[in-house]
Amino acid sequence: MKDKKHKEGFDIPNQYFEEFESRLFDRINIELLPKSSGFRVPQGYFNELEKQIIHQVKKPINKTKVISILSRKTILYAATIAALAVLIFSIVNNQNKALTLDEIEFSSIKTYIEEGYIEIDNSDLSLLFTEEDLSAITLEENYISEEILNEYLLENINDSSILIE
Amino acid sequence: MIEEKQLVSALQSNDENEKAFRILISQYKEGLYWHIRKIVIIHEDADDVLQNTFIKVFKNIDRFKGDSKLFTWMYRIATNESLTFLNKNAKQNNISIEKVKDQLISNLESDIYFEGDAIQIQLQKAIATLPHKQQLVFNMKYFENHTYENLSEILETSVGGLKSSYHIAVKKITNFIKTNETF
Repeated sequence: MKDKKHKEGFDIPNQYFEEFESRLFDRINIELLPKSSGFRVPQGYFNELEKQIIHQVKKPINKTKVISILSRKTILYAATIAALAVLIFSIVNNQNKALTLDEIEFSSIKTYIEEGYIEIDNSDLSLLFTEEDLSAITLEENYISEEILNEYLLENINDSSILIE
Repeated sequence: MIEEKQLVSALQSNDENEKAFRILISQYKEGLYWHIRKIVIIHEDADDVLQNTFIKVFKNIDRFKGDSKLFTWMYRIATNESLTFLNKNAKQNNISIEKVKDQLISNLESDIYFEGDAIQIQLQKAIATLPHKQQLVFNMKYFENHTYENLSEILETSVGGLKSSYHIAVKKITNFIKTNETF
């Protein structure tokens, strides 16, 4: 069949015939499937939503101020008690051998942090680095290939705010 | 519908932002909700994630530079928030994300906010067997009727890639349903 006479004045989307079968089979197959997912929402849910979200957006400003003093105190008490407990424990049980950071396996520390026992704030973290440390890291940027870095970030970074934009 | 550019500049202004935010919520709440619900399955969780999504949008609106469309950006945030939620759930229970999804789906029958029958549960089970990206493509195309062009922006994948993803997803889902027919 010569295409020429059909094409006169008419055009078709790119790849139309190449994709025709797969689109047709998708349609036939899809007839089998239910049209709706079956999920529903409580009555009036969407009407109340704006109010709730606006309330949420405004809430943290008042709330964190109150909590931060309280929680800092609590953390301080807890930390003091924990430190005392560790101190007493190490004096009583381990007089000759105090545990140093070097003796704790790196993986245990990693797990401890990952399990959420300790909250590390980015600003706290940045205090651990001097500007020299940071520029040393930048100098060594070729050490990790972009591919490995991407893979690592995709697998290990959960915070979606980093991925925004 | 209010022009997107106008809405963005109102959102980024200091005096009009709350009003603009209300408009934004009312325009996108349903679309985003259903998108999230298909990922996290349970209404209460979808509600949490949806609220977090809007809060994140509100807090980060100044960082929105208009390189993509506003709604594309919001869908990306919603997708990330939903996946972060499932991941957290999986980590807390020390199981895989797939296992979490399986458990959620097997509890659907007793969920008061699920009114589907056996075939709809089968469909959810079938979707859960797909790789994550295919799940997104299928849900967004089949249930939410997004165009491939929109999907391409949201998922940052070529239209051609999405078409073949969808095609494979449909094939796998219908095969699963045919081989697991219980109704």
